[in-house]
Amino acid sequence: MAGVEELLSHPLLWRGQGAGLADTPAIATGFDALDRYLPGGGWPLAGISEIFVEHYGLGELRVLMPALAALSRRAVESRQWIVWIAPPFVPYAPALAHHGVDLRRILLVHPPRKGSDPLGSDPKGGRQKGSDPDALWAVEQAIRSQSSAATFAWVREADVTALRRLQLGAEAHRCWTVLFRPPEAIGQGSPAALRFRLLPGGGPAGIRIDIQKCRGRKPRSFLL
Amino acid sequence: MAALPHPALPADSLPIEQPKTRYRRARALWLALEVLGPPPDPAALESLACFAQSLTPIVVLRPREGLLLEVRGSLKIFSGLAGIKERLSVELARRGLNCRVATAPTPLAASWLVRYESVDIADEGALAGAIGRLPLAATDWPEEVQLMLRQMGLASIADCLRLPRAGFARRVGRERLDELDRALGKKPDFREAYQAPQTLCRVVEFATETIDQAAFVGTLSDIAASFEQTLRQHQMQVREVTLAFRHLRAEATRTRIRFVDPVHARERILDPLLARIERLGLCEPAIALSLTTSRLLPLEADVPGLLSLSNAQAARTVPEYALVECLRGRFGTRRVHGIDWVAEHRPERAWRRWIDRPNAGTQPGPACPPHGRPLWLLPQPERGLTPFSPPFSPERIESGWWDGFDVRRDYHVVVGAAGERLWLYRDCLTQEWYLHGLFG
Repeated sequence: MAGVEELLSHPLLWRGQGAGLADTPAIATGFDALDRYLPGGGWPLAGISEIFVEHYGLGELRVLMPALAALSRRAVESRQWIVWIAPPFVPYAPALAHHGVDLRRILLVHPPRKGSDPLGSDPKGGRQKGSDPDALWAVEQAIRSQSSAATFAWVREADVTALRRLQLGAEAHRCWTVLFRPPEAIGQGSPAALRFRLLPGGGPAGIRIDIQKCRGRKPRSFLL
Repeated sequence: MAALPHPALPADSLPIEQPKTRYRRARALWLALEVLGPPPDPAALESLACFAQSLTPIVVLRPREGLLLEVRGSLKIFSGLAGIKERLSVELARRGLNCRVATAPTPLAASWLVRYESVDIADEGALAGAIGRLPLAATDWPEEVQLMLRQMGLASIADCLRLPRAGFARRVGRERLDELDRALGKKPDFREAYQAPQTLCRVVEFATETIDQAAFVGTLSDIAASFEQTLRQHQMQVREVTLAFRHLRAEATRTRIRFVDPVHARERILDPLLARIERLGLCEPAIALSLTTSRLLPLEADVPGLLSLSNAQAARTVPEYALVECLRGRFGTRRVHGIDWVAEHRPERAWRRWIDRPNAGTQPGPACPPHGRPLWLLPQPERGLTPFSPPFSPERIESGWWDGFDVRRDYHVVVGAAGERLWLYRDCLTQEWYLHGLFG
């Protein structure tokens, strides 16, 4: 029997009707409605999440802050990193500290980009064409090193094979991996555990989330 | 003029503590060597020190000046001081150096004496008289101290020795008094003997010119394994390695990897190197490859705090800097860093990078970071965007008139056309609008 239980809890096994998802490793989002909806009661820690952002400044970081603050405090104990790969602007330390993030575990990585420096990109979220082999390599290193608790990456183009590699790595090493993707990529197939679009909304935080895909749940929208 | 009230010190209030003197130090004889002419460069001095180690095990560097040798133990071997000086002068002549030599029972006295004269003081009784004749400029005392003493009418060290100790210590400083005591041998003067730096180096030549990555990976992996073995045997670790590819028709390609923490394990040395050679882009095929370490450091175990880690976490042996070094191997050191916030009003100065040690940031504590700051900051404020009507009352930030980066700005939170929240400011001097951040 133990063998069956073990098989059923394997992260790669998908069971219909959302059965067996209650013990999915997750971290509370800090938003009650979202916590009730998401399997495991929070952002999925094993697997990648994709966030599609039309414009920077819609609250794409604010929505992650409560979970990130909790995780950063945990990461101090376990001496793990929270790796930000190719952020489009400077993640502003006083604001992060204000949200309760422990800055000692934050590690910023700026892979060189052809044409423009990641720190000097277009403020309106203008994106250049071209894949990001360096950024994807860095994400994979961060996941597989086992020394990162979370990885945030701004990735323009990634094919399904690359995403699948990341998904498998994140499941095996329990690293909360969030990819910020341009809205054009939403039509692309993806093995991610969670995919959602971020829009301006009427909730108290001013954020609307359109969930496109969530393992074991039907897509729906939230106003946060 | 009223006398300044200070507690009257009895004349003997600064007694000399009699150190428990070891026989060897009591009978030490220091030979100071001064290179005349332009100051010798550090490499030449180190090379001279290596030669001097054939005369005595205790050689001390005097940077930009010369050397100090403790020669008491070597007198018999080289048939007296004359024999040692003879060997030194032969070597110095061979190197084309012009030097002056003086000996004294204490290292400080010897290095003061040698700046002015070439004398041999063998016993401590003659020491006070010999250094007393020296002018103040023989010491390393700062210029303002020497000036003050000259204005007080003191010209030589003997004048200083004649003064009451307590008054001298109060006016000139306790350290100067200690220096005089050390020069006279009344206080111990410990000097660290020079040790030639130890490094590891391995050169591997290839059978033919090659540009094959697999061959490089295999070779580096072997070298890293042999380095780990040697480092473990000697209980040492390294801070830096330099990789060089030699070419037949071009200058060698060199690249340097600096570790966040000193390392000795094979993977810690190898992984950043592999990430680096993947991106190196050799212009020419290589005929040989060499890996050189920086100076070896004694091994220090990374002991976690008694209460900080549970057993399960302690058993997880992934070192936290391995990831940092691996990413730096590929992208370069400056592209991987930590961040921290700084108590400062000007937004662009309220954060900083941590390059050397990415987790050196401040602990979350009682100091509170400012409220209402955006999560994204633009590296440079961007000009041109004029808001239709700023909805909230502005925050005035005005600071920095003292350091030349004077700012006077009114910050507004503005909702953009697509619903994004922007952090704009209006420069109060030019009345121009700038975008400075986004509420991500």
